[in-house]
Amino acid sequence: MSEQRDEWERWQEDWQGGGAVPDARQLPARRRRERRRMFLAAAAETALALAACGGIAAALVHTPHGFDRWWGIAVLVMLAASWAMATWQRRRVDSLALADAAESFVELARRRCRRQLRAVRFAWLLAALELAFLVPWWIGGFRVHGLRPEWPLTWLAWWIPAAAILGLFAGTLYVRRRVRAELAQLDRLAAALRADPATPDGL
Amino acid sequence: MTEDDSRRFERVVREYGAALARLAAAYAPDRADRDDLSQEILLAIWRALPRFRGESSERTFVFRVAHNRGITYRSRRRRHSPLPEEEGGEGEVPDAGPDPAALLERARRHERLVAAVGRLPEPQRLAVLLHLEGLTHREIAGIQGTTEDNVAVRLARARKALRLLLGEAEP
Repeated sequence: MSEQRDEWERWQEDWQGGGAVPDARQLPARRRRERRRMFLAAAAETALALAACGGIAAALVHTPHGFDRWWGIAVLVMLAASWAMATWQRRRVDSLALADAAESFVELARRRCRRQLRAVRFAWLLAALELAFLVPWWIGGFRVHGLRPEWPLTWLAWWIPAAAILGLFAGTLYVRRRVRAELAQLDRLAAALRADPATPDGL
Repeated sequence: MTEDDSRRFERVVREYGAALARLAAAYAPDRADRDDLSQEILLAIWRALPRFRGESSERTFVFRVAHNRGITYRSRRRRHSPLPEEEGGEGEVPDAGPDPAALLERARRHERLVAAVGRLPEPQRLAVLLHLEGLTHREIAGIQGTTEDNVAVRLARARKALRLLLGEAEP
């Protein structure tokens, strides 16, 4: 027993023999950097949402059929709602749970990851609905108006919304890959934390 | 953040700063990552401190925030970088003791222990880090969200593993 205590005491001494106090003077710069990063992310997300909504709004003005119009409005509302939800969720950062015990913090972090994965799937569904609405309109619009690729109207009605949808797809693919990797790590950690003390938890 | 919170934060950094840096070292494999994680931990504490209402001891609160930030940091890294190699005494040299050889030896032992602790399974590492900082089993259980018995079992297992890992590292 005393051998064990001696061993821990020796390790404690070795452990506490290192570690310099971190320089807290760097914090204001880091906070500014983080705020800037969050602002840029929010701006990019807003621009993407506006471009996607703009494309549909432009198409709606020219849509003669009642069914198409309702479809377009429904996609528009869903886009606006998902953008508002993403903005709200970004504000609810997991720092609120940082002071929880490790086990419940990990559980909350896993829930956050699963929520993000659901949001990605929802974004894909929206993109598919938007494409289903826009593609026929694009094809018809080009033919009826005799649009040329370099015209400003073509940019507004075709290139920008198409780029927004492509950007959304690329962005969500990246987020999905990152979140899935994080969730896998957290799942392993949660399993280890939950493990019965009578069963080996790693070594 | 109020004036009081700022003063409290400064005191927390003074009191626990070195311990938080050691904790960051066990979560982040290389030196640049350690500094980065140390700053992230400080930022998390700076944000969380105004919400602290004394539900636990301040020490428990600070270590909870720090550990959870460490967990997030580690889980967001897709691939864990290799653990630090033996660095032949290039670690942070503590400013105590006049003998440079003794200081280097102490820094070398510290680095070896950091590397060994970094290789432990996560629940054991959490328990060991806190135990090495002198926290009681009850405090560790509160931070990990488990029972004192469970902490004791984890520490016993970790001790065996550390012996092995440090033994492997012997020249």
